[in-house]
Amino acid sequence: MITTSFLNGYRVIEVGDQAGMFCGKLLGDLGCDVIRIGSPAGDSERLRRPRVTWDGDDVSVQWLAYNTAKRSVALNIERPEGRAILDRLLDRADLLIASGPVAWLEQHRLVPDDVRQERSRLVSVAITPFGLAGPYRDYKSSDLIAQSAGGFVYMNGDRDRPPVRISEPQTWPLAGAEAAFVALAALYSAQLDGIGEGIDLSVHEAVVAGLVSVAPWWQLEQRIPERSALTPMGRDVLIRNIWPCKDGFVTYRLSVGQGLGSRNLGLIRWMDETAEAGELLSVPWDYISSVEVSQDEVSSWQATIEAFFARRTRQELYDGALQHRVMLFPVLELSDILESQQLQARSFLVPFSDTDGRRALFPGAFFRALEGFDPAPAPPAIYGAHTDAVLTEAAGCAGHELTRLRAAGVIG
Amino acid sequence: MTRRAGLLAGLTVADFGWAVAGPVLGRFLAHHGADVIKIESNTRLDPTRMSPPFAGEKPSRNASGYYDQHNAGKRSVTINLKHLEGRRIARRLALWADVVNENFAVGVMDELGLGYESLKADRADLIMVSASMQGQSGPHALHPGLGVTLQGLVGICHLTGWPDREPVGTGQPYTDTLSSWLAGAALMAVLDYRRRTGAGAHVDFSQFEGAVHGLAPGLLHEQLGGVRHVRQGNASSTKVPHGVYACAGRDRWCAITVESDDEWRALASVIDFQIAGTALEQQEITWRARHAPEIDAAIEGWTRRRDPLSVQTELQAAGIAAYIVTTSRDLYEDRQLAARGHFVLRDHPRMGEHFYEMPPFRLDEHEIVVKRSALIGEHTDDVLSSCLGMTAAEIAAARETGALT
Repeated sequence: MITTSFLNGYRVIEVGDQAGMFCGKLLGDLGCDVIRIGSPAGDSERLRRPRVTWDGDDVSVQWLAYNTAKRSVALNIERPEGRAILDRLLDRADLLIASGPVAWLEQHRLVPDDVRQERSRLVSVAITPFGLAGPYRDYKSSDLIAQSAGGFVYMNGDRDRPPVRISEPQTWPLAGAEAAFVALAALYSAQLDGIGEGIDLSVHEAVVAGLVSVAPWWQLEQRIPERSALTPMGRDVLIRNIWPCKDGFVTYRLSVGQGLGSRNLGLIRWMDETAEAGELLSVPWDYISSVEVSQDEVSSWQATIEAFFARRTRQELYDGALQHRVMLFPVLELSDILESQQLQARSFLVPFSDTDGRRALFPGAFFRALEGFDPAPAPPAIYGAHTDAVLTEAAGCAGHELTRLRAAGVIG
Repeated sequence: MTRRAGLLAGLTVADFGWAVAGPVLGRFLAHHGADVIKIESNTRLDPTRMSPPFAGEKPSRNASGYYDQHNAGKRSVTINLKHLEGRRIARRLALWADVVNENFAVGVMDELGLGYESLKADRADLIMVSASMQGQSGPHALHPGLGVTLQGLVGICHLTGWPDREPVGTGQPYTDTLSSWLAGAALMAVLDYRRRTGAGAHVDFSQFEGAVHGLAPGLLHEQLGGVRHVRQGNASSTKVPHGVYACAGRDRWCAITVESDDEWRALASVIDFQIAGTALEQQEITWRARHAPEIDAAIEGWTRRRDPLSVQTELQAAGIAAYIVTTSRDLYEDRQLAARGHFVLRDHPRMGEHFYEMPPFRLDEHEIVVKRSALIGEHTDDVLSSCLGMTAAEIAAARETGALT
């Protein structure tokens, strides 16, 4: 059975800053009718740098990336008439995503308590920097702040330098993914029990929720895990995760212990083909505990592997890893990713062109489903292109009304 | 206010997840009241079972904080999947559950007789979610990996660290939890689709593809702007100042970012920034970009003499984005997390009473469920009898053959 999407028929209203855009995009990719509302004077998120030319405009790359598969409406919700139209849209919507500082959401009456008055079936998501309440609710934030506050930054970097973030904002895709998950759980539930939900999602807490092994250390062992260019094996012993090779770097994790140690055998057999495995051949990998191994031992194993990698290029190592089933990956740059054979085989990157014929590859569907899910991703909309259509079909506005509203600056 | 039962109350999940990405999705479902049954084995432990930290510090399969965090709220059954009868029982569980969750290397579920096509033959509306490294298809689909190493492939290693040094990557397998959320969103959509149409689906999620979504702005900038994205430490290409600054104390830091010229003036005033030749009003972004090193040095001269929380508090009061670079210990002392009730106490028969974590949202109507993790195999008998209708004799017989180790 072929279907165009999984969530056809649901309507989502999205308004606010960068923290909500990726959530809306995911819902659009799933087939929801996602309507992003911005001011007729322009959406400040389109101005966020870095910017490129697209559809004859100078627009944020983040905007382009995270606003595919949405309709764009230019509506001034600060004007009473504009707010009335928004209210009519919300009456016919299944889900609202509102993001930004708490004060802004409250001022615009976009918090769940406001919008769910007499809309008990609506799912209303508020995405704010630190949550709707609490001593830091009005704190200012940014990607670096959220990543630092959430415990992620401390875990990265060289010991002799400050802890460091990933040099591409990851807070927004992470918070967006978390918001999409809970919003859709609530949407699903609303179809079953008829009751929507008010969701208060904190971007700060979203970063904490993305941590894998940080919080338990202090609580259980009164230890603070620290950053290192090297990776801890067990508690204190360190080993490389990133290894230089002839023309760049690869990642490889040497593991020990039951269920993990035997994973090294692929690499060791490969190294042995050219007699480069040395003492690695005689180590009982599955029977060593990560908390009992010594730094001296590990450093020695590391040196043997370093020598093997140093003689080979990224491509040679990845090809060998594929052949010998070794958990090794090349360290790729963004331009390398665009040329990935694996992504190409899965048709993951989708070409979009703007109205002037400028073309770029965008990430496509974020999953496949073998039942014939055809994601048909759509390019970012021209700003305000759907104002008339949406207001006519979803807010009951007649043609002459649109003319008047436009002249009055209520719509764009 | 008494909340309604969780958003996914009544949903049953056969959780074959191992390590992080699969199990974490299972935990997220348990938060909403799903009955998540983790299938594991004493003969082939989930690697997190023996990963530190441990309650009591001695390695023990029922005392790992790593396992406990990512498997909170689940029931645990031990089934030996190398055993024919074990695989039969596992198959019955997979067919019984509303959802089958797995993140094995491609082909493993098929080898176990638990592949999607095989299960679907006996249950047409089966839903399976598979979160593999690179997807179920393609020339590299069979390539095994771990989250900590996948970051090389997805560009994150290259983009993390200092411009004058080797890439350092992240200390956390960051793509693992991002994958869990994304695969979870896909699963929610498919659940609703089944509700409406009666049809199931196999969610084929690639952790590689999920991570690439988070780098889409950079990919577009490379293609449309010709700009090669590289690691920059904590600098930003558009904001100055923007960084992590040393504070008083051992390895204590505060992150500070300035969005606008107004915020710079506020910061300059707080730290009493002095520079000859340029009035404060002229220190707009392009000037600041040219003088970033002096600005950073001045900020750090100020922060070094203060503890990080004072820096955070004073700067936020002046309208500047600042926050301590939080450590594991800081999480438990964080005032905002405390106000949100982030950490909740639960008792555990081996680990004792300790804190579990809430998800990053709060709900008005439905409850969020946070329960302890299970001892290995704690619910084998319960699940086999109540979910599969096996009698005590049948369970004992299965145990005798070694199918339930």
